[in-house]
Amino acid sequence: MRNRKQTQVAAALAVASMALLTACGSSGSDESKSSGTKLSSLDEIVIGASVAKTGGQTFYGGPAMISVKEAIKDINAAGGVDGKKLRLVWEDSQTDFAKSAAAAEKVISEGANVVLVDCDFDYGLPAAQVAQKHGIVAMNLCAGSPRAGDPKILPDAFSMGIATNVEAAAIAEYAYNSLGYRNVYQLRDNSIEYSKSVCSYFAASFKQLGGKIVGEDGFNNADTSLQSQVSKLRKAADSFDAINLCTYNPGLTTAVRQIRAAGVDKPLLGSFTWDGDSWLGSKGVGAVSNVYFPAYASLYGDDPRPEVNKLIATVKANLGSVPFTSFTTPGYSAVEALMKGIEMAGTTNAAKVVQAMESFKDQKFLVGPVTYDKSTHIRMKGKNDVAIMKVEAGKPSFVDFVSPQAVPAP
Amino acid sequence: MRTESAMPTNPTHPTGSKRGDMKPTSRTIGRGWLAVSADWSTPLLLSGIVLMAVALMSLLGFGRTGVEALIMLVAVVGLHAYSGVTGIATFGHVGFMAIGGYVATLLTLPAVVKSYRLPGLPPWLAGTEMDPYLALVVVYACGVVAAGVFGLLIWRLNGLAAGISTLAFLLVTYNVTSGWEDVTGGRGAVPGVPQISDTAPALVVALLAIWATAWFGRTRQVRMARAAREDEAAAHAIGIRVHLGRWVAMTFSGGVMALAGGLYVYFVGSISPDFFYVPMMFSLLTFLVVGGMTSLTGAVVGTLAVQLLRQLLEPLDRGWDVAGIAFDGRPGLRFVVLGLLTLLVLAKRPGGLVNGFEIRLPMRRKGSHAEQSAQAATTTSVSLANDSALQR
Amino acid sequence: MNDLAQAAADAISSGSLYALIALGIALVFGVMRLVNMAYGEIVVATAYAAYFLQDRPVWIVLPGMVVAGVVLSVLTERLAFRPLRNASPTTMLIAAFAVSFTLQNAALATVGASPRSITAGASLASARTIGPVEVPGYSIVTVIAVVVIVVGLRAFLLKTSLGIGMRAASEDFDAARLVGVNANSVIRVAFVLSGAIAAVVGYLLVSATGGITPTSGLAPALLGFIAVVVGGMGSLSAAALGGFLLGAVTQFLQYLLPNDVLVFRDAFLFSGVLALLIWRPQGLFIRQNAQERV
Repeated sequence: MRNRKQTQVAAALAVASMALLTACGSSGSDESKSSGTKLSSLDEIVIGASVAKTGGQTFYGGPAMISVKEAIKDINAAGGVDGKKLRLVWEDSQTDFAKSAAAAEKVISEGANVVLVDCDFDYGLPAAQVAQKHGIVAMNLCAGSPRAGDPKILPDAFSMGIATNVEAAAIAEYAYNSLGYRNVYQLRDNSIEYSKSVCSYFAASFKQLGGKIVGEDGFNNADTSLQSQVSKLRKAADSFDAINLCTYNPGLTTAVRQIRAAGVDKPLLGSFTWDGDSWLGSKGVGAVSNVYFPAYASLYGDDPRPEVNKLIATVKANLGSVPFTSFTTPGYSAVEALMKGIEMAGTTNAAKVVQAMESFKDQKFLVGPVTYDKSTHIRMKGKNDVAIMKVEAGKPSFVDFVSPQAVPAP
Repeated sequence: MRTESAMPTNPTHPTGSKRGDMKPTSRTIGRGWLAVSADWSTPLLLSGIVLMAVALMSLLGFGRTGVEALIMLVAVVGLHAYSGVTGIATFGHVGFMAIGGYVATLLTLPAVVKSYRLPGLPPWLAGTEMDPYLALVVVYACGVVAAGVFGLLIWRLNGLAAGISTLAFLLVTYNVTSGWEDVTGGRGAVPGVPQISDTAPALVVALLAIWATAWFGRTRQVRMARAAREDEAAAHAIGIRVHLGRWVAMTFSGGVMALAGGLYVYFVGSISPDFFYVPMMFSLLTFLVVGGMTSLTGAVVGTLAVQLLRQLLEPLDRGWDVAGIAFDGRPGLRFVVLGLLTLLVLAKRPGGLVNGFEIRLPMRRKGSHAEQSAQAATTTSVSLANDSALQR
Repeated sequence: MNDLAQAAADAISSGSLYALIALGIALVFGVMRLVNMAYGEIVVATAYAAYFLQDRPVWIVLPGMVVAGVVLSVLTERLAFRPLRNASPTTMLIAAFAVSFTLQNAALATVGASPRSITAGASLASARTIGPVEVPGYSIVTVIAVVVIVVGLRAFLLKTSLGIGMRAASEDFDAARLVGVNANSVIRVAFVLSGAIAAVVGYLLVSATGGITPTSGLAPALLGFIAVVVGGMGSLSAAALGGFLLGAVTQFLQYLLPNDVLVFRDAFLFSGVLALLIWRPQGLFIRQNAQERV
């Protein structure tokens, strides 16, 4: 008896709350797509940023935001965009998925006309989705995952990062064409998508050029011992010219230390994540030699682009002894590109700005030419300046720019 | 989530559970249609507190952070439903949130997104595009089933061993969600989950969780589990089926956790295995421990207070310059302060801020042992023995 | 044959490291029933000490790391765990989580999120050949360190009055106090030893990895913790054996599992731990009844 009554009450409750929920849900979804404002009727252009000041993502976010501030300063000094000054509103995304979205919501409520989001695709995504919902253009400061610039996922979001397939193709082409390597052994870190995909893009590109992958093995970033992998690698040492090592720190230093300790001195071919004075230097593992990796720019004053050297000097002066990487430089051009888009569109309306930005074809910005189109909102097509760095005795130096041709499909 | 109230003990004890919940309704306060069952005054007052907190948060301009606080509240209430009742600390309930989150994602993700982000999905899942609210029902059911199975596995475990087994469960869940590319998309985030970031749905679920847990706390099984928390040997001695009560608590809380996971994923709009790992577990534990593990009031107060504090401490990160006293701010400092504060509470008030107290409306006591024994902190095994004897 | 020998060597070397971590955790658990999840952060702190003592000779770096480990370990005891001495193991475990969270965020706020490269122990990285197998120097040192520490601890526990007090305390703390064992000094000694072992672990860890980040502590702490559980709480030798077993099983899974199943290595590992807990909640190497005392 009582049981039945309880069930009835439960059912009634269920129905009532369901109705309430559905009502709330449908009322909430209509407010999106605020139309944006004509440039002429704006007092200023507010650049919102949902970027980490705390937690692990500050490693990328902190330095990148210094570049952003530099870009804003420079544009304002040159008179702004159509006479409108830029203002930055930066909310801490706290290296937290939920806070990333909350921070985006906050800056939008404070009037942001565009939103900059965290470099890591996973962390930047929630913020970019919030911007999308409000009909505001989002720009990822340096994500390389082709997904970060896939309009099928977020029609109004872009990334100033160079796509991972371009980065991998650049070092593959440099190894094949300039260094003359034909046989490469791959050691892949299976812990995250980036490290896995950078190895598969390298393999695709290298094979397309005519090279061969003669062996492969896997490990995990958190592993403290790579002994079995290194033994296997050393046995095969006669069969290859170089090792393509796809990983990131802290696993990177572990792998490099153990490979070199085993007496394998073959060249190491790296990726963007190898950049930075946090480990490269004349000390410890950082005193490594015979290493090549792609980068956004050289941090060591020998980049052929004087304006890039100037920006890096400013970042360095701001950070003091805090290590950083060349992932900082795209932050500058992220602002440049957004402002160019708004200027061309004459409005902050997302659809129009996106349209304008999709017309960029080898558009010249501080980091080099940038090309976007209807299907690609990341630096993948057109010409790209990927810097190739060479490390000897822990000293990295700029060797060449590569704009790869054999770019595998994302 | 509405099915909660139809769930826990009835199937296992068709005769036993009724008297346990019904007896209290005989005592009421107020008159006529205003009369409120004294025993429902706790969830009623807690609902009031939550509503006031929501109002306060919107007044202070919390925006989405307020919604996140409500979702965390659901999770902490779920955590309390297990830990508070059994006295076993759990370090792995976030694993049920992960299950809820992925079930919600798989059911609601648009087929277009699935086709290129999760191309390995079996056909019957690849085409599914369920309404997100309807999906929560399935999410809840999956949480219940997962917790039920896991609860059977650890049926006999006590104390620390039980806590550690939950940690092992979380580590397994994390590894499986990170590695099972076809279904979860691996370590990378899966975008495009329908976004629900309004206050109302989170508020409704939070209130439902509070009411359901309050109701659940009055069932016979749970009272017996609670008796076992105070003195397991005595509980065994008087014939209480300790393990059954724990299993019921695990099952119930698993469902609530899964709901929280689903809501969290809707809130963020994407999912990645890293959402539901040790850092999230630590946050939830902090909320529960600061408030007080053994009472529902503690769970609610702890969550709201710590969330509020976390927001109010922001100047520590940002810096200030008020009335000539300037401080530069140090990003991350507030988390250090929050950690120290948790330690302080643990040291000075091990029972948490409310220390086992359940908020309720004042009322005349008629010397019911059952009523008194529900007040966790003051219970002795003797009165608990009476409690369960009375219900028999 | 060679492969098998190599696998065995790898198993012994990673097992030794886990055994060391497990010892550090078990020492403290023995005297106060505290599962010290903050142990990983203490290891990380010693590694940062090595970073700040960069390029100094090893006879400065290693003592510096030991001082850092011991000071931090004793400080956490004094400030965080002493007030909780009579609390339940569960409350103390939560406190340990809080300490871990606090220390990690303190590291993030002071030294920052970027990984730091550390020179200490670089010479230990190069490989040595022993018979049919080739192992890096730090693996050999790890095995030696485990042996030395276990023998040393054993002598300490059997021969010195403090050691005997510690053994008594881990049997029955209250009874030990009644017969005149000084609780504070016993617990302090446990934390001192545990902090010193953390420094050794830190040194071996950075010589293998060459770098450190504020979040590097989680993985070793979890593994050490699981090792203690597998071996058995409350006994040093059981914990060390548990560490060996965990390391060995990890390495053998690495060899045995086919490549596409390898991503689930940890799931297998922790399911095994779960099964073990259900089958023998008191741990593999402990004979006691698991039923809590009344």
